[in-house]
Amino acid sequence: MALFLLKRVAESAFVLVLGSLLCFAFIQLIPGDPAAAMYGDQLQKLTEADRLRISENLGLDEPVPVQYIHWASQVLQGNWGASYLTGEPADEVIVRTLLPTAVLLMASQVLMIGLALFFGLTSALRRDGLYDRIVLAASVLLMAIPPFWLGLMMMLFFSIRLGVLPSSGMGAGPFSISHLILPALVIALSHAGYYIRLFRNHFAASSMGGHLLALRARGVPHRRIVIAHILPNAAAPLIVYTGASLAVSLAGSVVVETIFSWPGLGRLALKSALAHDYPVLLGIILLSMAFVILVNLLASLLAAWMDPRLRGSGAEGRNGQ
Amino acid sequence: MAILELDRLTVAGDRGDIITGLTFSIDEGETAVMIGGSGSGKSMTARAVLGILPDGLRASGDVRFHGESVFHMPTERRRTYLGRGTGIVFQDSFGTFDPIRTIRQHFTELFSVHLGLKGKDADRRALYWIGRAGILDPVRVAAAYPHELSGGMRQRIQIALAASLEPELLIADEPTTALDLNIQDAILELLKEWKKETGGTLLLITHDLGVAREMADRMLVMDNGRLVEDGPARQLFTAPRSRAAMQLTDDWRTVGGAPPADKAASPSHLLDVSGLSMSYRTGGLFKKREVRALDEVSLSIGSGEIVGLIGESGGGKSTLARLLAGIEPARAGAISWHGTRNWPDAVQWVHQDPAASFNPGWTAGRLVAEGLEYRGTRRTERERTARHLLSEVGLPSETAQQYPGELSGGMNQRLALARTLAVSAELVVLDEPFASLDMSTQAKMIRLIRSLRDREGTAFLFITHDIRAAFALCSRIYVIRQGQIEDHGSPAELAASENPYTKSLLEHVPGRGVDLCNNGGGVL
Repeated sequence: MALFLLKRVAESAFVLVLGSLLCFAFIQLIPGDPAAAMYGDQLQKLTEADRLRISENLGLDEPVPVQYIHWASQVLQGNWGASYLTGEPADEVIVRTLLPTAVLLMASQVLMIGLALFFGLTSALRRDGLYDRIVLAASVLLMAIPPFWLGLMMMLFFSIRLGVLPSSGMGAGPFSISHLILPALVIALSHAGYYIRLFRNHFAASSMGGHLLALRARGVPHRRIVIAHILPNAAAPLIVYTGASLAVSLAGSVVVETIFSWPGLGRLALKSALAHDYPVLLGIILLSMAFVILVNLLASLLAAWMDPRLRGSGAEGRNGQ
Repeated sequence: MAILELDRLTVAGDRGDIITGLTFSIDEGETAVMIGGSGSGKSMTARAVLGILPDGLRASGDVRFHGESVFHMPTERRRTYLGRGTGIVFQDSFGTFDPIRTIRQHFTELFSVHLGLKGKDADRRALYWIGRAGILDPVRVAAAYPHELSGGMRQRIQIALAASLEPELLIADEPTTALDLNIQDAILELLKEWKKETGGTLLLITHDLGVAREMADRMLVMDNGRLVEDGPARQLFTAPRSRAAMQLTDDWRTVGGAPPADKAASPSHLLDVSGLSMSYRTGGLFKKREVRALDEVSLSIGSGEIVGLIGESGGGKSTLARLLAGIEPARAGAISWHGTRNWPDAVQWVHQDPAASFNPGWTAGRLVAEGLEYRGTRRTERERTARHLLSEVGLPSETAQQYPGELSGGMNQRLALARTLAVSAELVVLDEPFASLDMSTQAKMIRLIRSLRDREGTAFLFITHDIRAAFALCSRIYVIRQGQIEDHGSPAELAASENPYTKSLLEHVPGRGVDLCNNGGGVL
């Protein structure tokens, strides 16, 4: 288990470094000029020499690898650079958006996993029946609907037609339920279809094992078989998928936060990308990446803790005779 | 006093009856053996007795335990009947364990459900029963997960699980099939011991007359969902009455008999293997370990000869098969080939589970002639060859349109043999071909292999842990152990061998005491 842990942590660190390198390289490919972000309309008044001077001040005249090393060493010292847009430290700009996004993500995850658990388990226990088929049809429909369209339709219906929920903003703060419901629901629903199918298939597979027959033959009650054997056997892969789903939801938050004007990380990411605000954009990407890697690491450790076969190092995991 | 009574028990599915009008009773303290081929309804009887039939099957008639109808028991009473009245041991020892629970947890769950025993008391009891199953280090095994144990260990644990609730009736459904012979022997000993100590009743289900002979007070012969013979064990061997019983003893003679003497006494050499060695590397991040699978193995096979290779699991049998078939290159040593076509083209390998080696989306007809496709033979030609070859191996011509999934284990074995004929193999390597076949199918396969050798002159290397079948089929046998050839000779020579390992292997043949070299006649 110790070796497994060490391997996993080393892998994660490697992925983080590689990912930051790639992002840094790709950001250079975005067409446009950071000076535009800093000076806006006054850009027209700048001479060619001014622009070069700005570039030099920002360190953008250096070769990209040098820029990367410079940036990475600053980040490691806790200096994330200043926003080209506002001049504030990038980390302060980012930190302001973390709480709203965290609240939104948690709410949408709870909704989504709740839906997937409930409909997945109930339809797996009624395999191939009418109920199972209706759930299948509904989840395929959910998978097919793009989140921005779903967001606009829900806004149209709940905010404009019925007028029961606000259409944008955060109201008094991130915990204002009435403002939270719509964006959280849109993120949850746009991924729920896929996860309902996934959970259903895992529950179905784990409720067909020969050991369940053996348990019945030894007089173990049905309720106990479901709770102590079917659920735990399906849990390990589901935890891994749940970890992965956080990454998907985080990516989805860019669109949804923009539609609902939710002042979170996703909206900030879009804004800084459009404005070539490199320090902020890189900070967001690095942070999101670290977050996703950390969540996946925790999920796979938790799964290995639950399922001994996943801890395998070499000879284990085989059906040896 | 009857402990279990079946009264016109019928199990029906959508396609008709699986078990028809089964009536018999088992007395307290008796060992009844239910014997029959696969698909004769043996396992379904066990499931009906426990009331755990698969979905879509309905039982009628009655099953009574101590005179009480099992089908009409209230839920609570049924649970007690299942845990404490009866115990069951299944064939598949891996699939019957929850993969994410330790062995200890398997025991303590039963103790908590049936005896209300929890915590330290339950743990102590679990250790006690694991030890009772003949396991030397119960503490380690208790903490292990099912996949960390060997098949034989798991089967011991299964018996301990069933016995730990002290049931009056133990049902063992093919408890020894697919295990090495010495482990089979140990499992049968364990069952005997259980009976002697508790005086309980045993219903043993098997297809193997050797196992039956060793255990039974009484034999119940099943055929096609019906009970065709019910009587004392001895009677089945001395005076079988039903056709199915006669067929069984006949097949037993084929499987347990000796081969007819080879016509060609000194066949020309087809294959010579000398000093063949093979090793694999395993291990983790820091230390690598080298495992020697084969160590300086030398053997020879003549053309048209049937040669056996026997030994326990992990002895290097399958590694040798892979090297001979050219699937992997050897680390050291030489394979020299004297056949008319190039090695390894002329060597064909038949997988242990042939159905797993077929493309499930192809018909049997296309599978048989697959080898010819790679040679660019025309389609009409291939179809004609396929039809001819299917009849050669005794499959009906309509099989050509069927898929592997629609065929039985024996039919798939035949199909695999037909494939080797399609490319006119000179040597066929059979890797445990009988592991999943019942005794009657084994007897038919033995006859088929012999007739193929006689007609086509094909040589066979027969790799198996089933010593009885090797003795019945082969003219020469090699004994392999830990990657080295330990002993070698004709069946008669091996039976008289002084080699301690060969001796210990022969000791574990079920129904031993039967003269292995007696040709056909005197099974008893």
